[in-house]
Amino acid sequence: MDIAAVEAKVKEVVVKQLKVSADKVIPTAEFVKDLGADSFASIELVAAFEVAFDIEMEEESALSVKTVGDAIRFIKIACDKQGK
Amino acid sequence: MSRPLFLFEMKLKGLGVDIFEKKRMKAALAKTSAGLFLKKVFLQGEIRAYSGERGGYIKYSVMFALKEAVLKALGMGWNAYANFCDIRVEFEGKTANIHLSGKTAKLAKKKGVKKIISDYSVSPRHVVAVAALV
Repeated sequence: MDIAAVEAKVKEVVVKQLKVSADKVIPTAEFVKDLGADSFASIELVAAFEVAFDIEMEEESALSVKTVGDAIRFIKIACDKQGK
Repeated sequence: MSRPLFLFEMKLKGLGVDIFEKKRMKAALAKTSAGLFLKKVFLQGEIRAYSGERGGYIKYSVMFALKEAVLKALGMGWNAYANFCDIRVEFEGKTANIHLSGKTAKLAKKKGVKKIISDYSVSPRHVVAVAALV
């Protein structure tokens, strides 16, 4: 999956899960500060990413994901490693 | 009367409180990612105990709020979700007992925690949970 496809899907999942408008989901947007994610929403989001991309996200590493851009890069690497 | 007296006799090492909207759990359980979500927050035994049970989402809400309260009491912050499965909630009637394992147990030991006292309350919309580390 190329990076543009990952980005589009990440945005789609974030909009659906966090119920935010698409224009707010920009690479620099922080999940907590800008998109209003709390711990519960963050766990739901990780689970939703795993379903959407058919990947496994290692929780400890996923903690380093702070922004939408971080998530795109993290998922792209996970997809490549897991052959998706 | 025994609980407050007990608290005063032992030094409080941490206190955490959490309020949680039950409808969020109900909605999470209806999603296609529900199975993965549950595994990230609850242990197999906790999932099994209330899976498919009518109103099971309320028990999951209580357990989630208790786990959050414990993490807050330990000062582990909101994004410590990798540690949720280190906390096991066991119900004994209406009393919830908390058991720690893994990294969370190590941190509690380092802080000198001997016992976790917890309680919760359920309203039509919310669950409130509190955890005191002594």
